[in-house]
Amino acid sequence: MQLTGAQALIKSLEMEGVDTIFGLPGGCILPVYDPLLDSPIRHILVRHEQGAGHMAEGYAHVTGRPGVAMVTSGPAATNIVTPLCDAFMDSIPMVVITGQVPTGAIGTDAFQECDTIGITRSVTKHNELVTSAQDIPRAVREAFHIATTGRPGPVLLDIPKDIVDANNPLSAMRWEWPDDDSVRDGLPGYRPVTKGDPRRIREAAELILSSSRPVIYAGGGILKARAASALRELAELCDIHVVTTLMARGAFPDSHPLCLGMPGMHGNYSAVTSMQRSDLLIALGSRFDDRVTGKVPTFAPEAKIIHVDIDPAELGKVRRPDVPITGDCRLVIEELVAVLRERLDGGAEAPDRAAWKQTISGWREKHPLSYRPSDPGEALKPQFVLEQLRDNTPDDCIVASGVGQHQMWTSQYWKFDHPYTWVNSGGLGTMGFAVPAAIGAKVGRPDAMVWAVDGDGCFQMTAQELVTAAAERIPVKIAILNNAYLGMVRQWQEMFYEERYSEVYLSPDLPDYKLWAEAMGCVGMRVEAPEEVESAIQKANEIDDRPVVIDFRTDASEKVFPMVPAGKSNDEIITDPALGEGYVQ
Amino acid sequence: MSTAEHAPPPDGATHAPARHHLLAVLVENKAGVLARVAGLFARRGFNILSLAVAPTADERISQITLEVDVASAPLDQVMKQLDKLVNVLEIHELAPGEFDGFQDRLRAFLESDA
Ligand SMILES: Cc1ncc(C[n+]2csc(CCOP(=O)(O)OP(=O)(O)O)c2C)c(N)n1
Ligand SMILES: [Mg+2]
Repeated sequence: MQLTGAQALIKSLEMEGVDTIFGLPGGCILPVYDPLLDSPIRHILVRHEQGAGHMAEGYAHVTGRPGVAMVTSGPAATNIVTPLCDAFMDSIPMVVITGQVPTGAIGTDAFQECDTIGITRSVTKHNELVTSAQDIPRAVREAFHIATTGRPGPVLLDIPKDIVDANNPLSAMRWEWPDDDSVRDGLPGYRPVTKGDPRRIREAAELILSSSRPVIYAGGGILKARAASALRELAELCDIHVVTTLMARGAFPDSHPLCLGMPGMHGNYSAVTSMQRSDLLIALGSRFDDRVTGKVPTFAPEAKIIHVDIDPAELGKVRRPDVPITGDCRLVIEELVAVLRERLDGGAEAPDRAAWKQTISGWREKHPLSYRPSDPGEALKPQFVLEQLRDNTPDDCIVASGVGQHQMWTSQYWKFDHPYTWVNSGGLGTMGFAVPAAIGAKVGRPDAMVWAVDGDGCFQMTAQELVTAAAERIPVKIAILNNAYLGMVRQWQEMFYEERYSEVYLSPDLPDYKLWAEAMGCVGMRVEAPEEVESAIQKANEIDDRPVVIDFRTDASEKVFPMVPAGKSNDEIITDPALGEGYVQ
Repeated sequence: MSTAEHAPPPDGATHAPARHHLLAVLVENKAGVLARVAGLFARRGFNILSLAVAPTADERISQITLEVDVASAPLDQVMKQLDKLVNVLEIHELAPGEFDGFQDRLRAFLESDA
């Protein structure tokens, strides 16, 4: 069958099972947009290419399937660099297609030419400049294979205009869809290891059986490997507490008695401290990020480490593991559970951990999350708004967030009882992530309710995508925790820069969020009093034909606690807001 | 291509004494692969002291030989990162003996008119 490169590209995406492309056309990618008209693939026309990238990420977060974005060359390609980096840091499977100037013009500083491959090399798992129409199906298959296997990540294909342009003889190709073997043979240097070394797994089992104070340190890899139920089996079998990192919220149910919630800079006291005091950390798909470890040399000083990760480069990157296991988290945990079960059935017994469990319960009782409720007439407490949102939405509601204080409060106060319900930017910490990511999530899971909790600063970075959502009738709901500040930066200035506030004030009503929402085709609301919070949320929940934005006026002086100041040991965790007052580094 | 003393890598992560290592990296013979490999060293602020790319008996494969100035621990990390590049097939660290030979061959090559 003879096709043009453009037809082959769209057909290849169809062959990969793509149902949605987030994108925006332009000169170099124009030829590909023509056969798109005849394809069943849904295209969502974004208002800024950064939005396309984050939507693709949100889609991938909740479905586990790769998100796809398509944009033109030059400025469009540079606009999507942030989402690529975000997806790279958080191991999100994504395929981005960029237009490029015709092959003959590459390197001539042609109109809208940029070195997309060079620019995105360090923020993609792989990228390729496709130079012939005949190569397109192979390139697409490889891109999806690389994006979704091993440690997932973003892959970019740069497509010069001449190889897709129906009017150019260079775009003629004979359709052929590569089989699995030829994909394998075409990637001789790409062989992710998924099965753990059985000898290491037995070593891990022995360490677990001999430890008195074990803690499971579950990371985003659990979700990527679809290992949540395997994790639960392991935790329950050995009766071991679990911390879920910012990327792993929902990987183990918050309501489970063994769940300690989020560790790290703004983690629960019990999560942070049980890691600090443990004698064995079982790191599963986590990467010893600085936001979790605090000052590395003082992190969990007495703990032996079992580290399971599909990426061998993570093992020993930050902390030398006693038992390193390269492999897919689900496969390795299942093997580990089998070995442990056999040992336990054979009469093996772990040391008595009653005292340790008692200690953890004590920490949980003594240091729960807390905040001072607002007095009458005071601004809303952000934590109160989150509790209301949590309690007035379904148990499997998907929540996306931006980056800042509101993100930490969401992670702290939400109750995540299901995997794939938390969509956030962890590694890169990208302000502006929430609105487009929530839209992508709703496209991927139209059956689920999707809320975004956003900051006023973040909202202003990508709010234009609500126009996309209104036009496409994607009914996401946005709660802006409007504290009129770049709140997280303000918190650092208050605590570590002697309250010298530099360039953090934003104003509560410039812009007017309600009017802005309405102008974008959304329902806009403003809430200032605690007694209005619940009814506003319920009203938003009932709206199903357009997006809703609620401007919650929150207390700017509220700070996120607990907190381990940057660069400090996790032993120096500040729990009591009063102690944080006027805290100087 | 100096073998003189070098400043420690600017990443500040390493306190072990810097050392010279010679790496042989087998890669797919494709456009842009050298940039990917070199980019990984540049990103960490590691200095590449010498570098040669040569074809192998198999025309689909090239060998990149790099002499780098890195302490062992960060080197291990770069090698693992290199190994993750889709176009990288194999990485070997060459022994000091092979190292001398490489320097000699490279010098001879540079002094010839080739
Ligand atoms: C694109 C980007 N620029 C800057 C930052 C640094 N930063 C982190 S949090 C934050 C403040 C966010 O303000 P807002 O969205 O209002 O959230 P709040 O902290 O007030 O809840 C800033 C500026 C960032 N993470 N991302
Ligand atoms: Mg704010």
